[in-house]
Amino acid sequence: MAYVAIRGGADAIEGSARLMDALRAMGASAPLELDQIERQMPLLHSRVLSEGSLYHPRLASLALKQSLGDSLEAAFFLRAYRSTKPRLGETAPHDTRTMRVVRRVSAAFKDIPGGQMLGATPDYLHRLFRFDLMDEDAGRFDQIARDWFGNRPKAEAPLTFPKVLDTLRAEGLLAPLAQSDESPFDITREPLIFPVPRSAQLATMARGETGGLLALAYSNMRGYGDVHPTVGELRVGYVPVMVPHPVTGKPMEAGEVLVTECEIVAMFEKTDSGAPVFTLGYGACFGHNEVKAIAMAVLDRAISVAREKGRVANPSEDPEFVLLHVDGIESMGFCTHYKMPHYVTFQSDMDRLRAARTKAGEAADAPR
Amino acid sequence: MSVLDLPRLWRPETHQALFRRILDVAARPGRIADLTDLLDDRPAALAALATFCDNTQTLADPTGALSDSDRAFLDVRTAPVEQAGFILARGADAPRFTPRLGTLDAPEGGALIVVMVDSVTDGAPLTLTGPGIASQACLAPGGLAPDWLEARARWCADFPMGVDLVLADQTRIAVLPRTTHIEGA
Amino acid sequence: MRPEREHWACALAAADADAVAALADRIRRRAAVDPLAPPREGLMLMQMRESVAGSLFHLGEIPMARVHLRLTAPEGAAEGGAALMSDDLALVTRLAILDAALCAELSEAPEIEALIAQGMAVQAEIRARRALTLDRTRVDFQLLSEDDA
Repeated sequence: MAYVAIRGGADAIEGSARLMDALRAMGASAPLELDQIERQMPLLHSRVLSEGSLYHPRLASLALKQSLGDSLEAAFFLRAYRSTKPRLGETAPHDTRTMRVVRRVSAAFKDIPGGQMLGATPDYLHRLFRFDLMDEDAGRFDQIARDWFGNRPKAEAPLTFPKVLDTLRAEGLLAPLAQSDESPFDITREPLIFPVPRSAQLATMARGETGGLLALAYSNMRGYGDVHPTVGELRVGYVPVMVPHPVTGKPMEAGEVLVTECEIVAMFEKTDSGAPVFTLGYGACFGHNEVKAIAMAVLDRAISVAREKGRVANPSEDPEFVLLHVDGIESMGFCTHYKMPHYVTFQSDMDRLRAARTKAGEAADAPR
Repeated sequence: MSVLDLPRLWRPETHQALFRRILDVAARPGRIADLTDLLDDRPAALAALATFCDNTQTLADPTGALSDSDRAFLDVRTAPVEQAGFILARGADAPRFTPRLGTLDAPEGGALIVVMVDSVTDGAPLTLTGPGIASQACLAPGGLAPDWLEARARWCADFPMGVDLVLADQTRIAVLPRTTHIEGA
Repeated sequence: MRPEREHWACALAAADADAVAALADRIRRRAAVDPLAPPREGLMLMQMRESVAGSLFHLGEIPMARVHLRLTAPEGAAEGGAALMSDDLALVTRLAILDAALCAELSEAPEIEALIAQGMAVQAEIRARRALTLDRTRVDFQLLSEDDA
């Protein structure tokens, strides 16, 4: 069933575009500043950064503003914008051990090297409204900042930490790192033709839509699957981006990227050497998005389970099912296209229905 | 004025103009493109490479004709001559390599060779037929060793695999796509 | 003590933007600046090594601008370069000019060093705020079974 080319409607379309702007501008509130979106809605902002797959905080704010808060549309804006820019290449591999951590927790261990720091999280708070937030003014913001930043400790604490899993690995409880230098699959240039390498899987999920990834991972967690994950480490922080200095060739810091990374430890299994080890799952994305990173890690493990067993027991284990349905731009786009005119094909459906009803009517009236 | 001025040869708008002219003579083998007004006294062969190359491509320069500065501005990766997508060569020297010829699945993988010649018009005439040519056309490159035509015939024998040649003198270019048949070669 | 050259660009990017621009433009007016490679502004794939199997993958795309130039002033000349996660080629060009000017020890060197120091102070403040975040939310959970009495 194809949507058809139409003419006309230019006035209505223009009216609609102007109406979207008018909706924003109506009422007494001041225009949103990009900074407000980034600073006061950072988690929504983070979603758009990772689903748009472009780490441009200012444009992510603009996308949310222009799309009237539609996170799927906002991610679409960033994806479209990407296609107008030249490709400069790829960076050298980055390691999150260099991450300047702002949150770091483990569900597997109480004591980890460097300690656990909650950072900013609602995890331990009740979901009760704070009605005082309804009427905040700039003065209130100043007070909050003063209260937080006053009386600071003098010492400079470390911001980078080792990986929790390194400890397990040192004890031989995890499979050793393969350290493959195989060039990563570029999902922005090559289509997914299955089977795809793990780099294609991770890249696709890294820009996947949070709700889609969550639903599939949840299906596994709830019992359709076999993954019983414990979060070995969840860390959120800023990874410095290092590129060669144009003159000296030595690494220089070009900026930093907010990243969420989750490693889950799942059931143990035997290895070729006979000794059992824990199995792992990995998830990472731009921005602060814990649900997405955990869901990614669960799906990473689920897909590995199916590959190791040689059979797929449920959709969350099927790489084709997962990877082809989690992209927000693809799924939203296809869903949305149903609203485009499909008059011709639908007319032919109506004609066929009428003909079928007539035939059914004749059959009913025919002498037995 | 806060962004640097690029030399004319390295500006995107120059590459667009060059590309149009190169494409026109590639579509009509036998025709010659005069690039003088776009070159700023740089060689036409370099202008052709500047048009084609970017950081997603590979180039081999067995002649050593490219300066370090030219290489930096071409912003192209280096590869051995048997693997490069683009090759710079001298017409006077017989080719002593086998370039990439592509595969049946991906014949576009065949190399494009920019061959520096003394002149695209002062040599022995060649008769060309094939796509883009009404009945026949003539090209008379001077300073192109006969080994080149023999090698080209060998490399393009398994059409659609093969190579495409861009002949360049100081200011002009002509193109011999693999689809062109050269009489007697 | 002057910090290492590879720290200059991000420090200057954290300093007062107008002051950095004014200084770079002032140097440019009295010196010749020529590109040594095409100044580029676009996107790079950010490559990561994941820590579960140690394989490489792309986390997504990041903006990047890169400039490599030569600065020639009456009292000295030097190559300069800068790369920044930015789409502002004008800014990165200015950072490359300051990089070259400081290497060539032009008369503006003390002003450049002052801006670098200003930027490093801003970076230090960010680090301090992050350390505060970690310090104030450091966990010391105890299992209920470990309670005395």
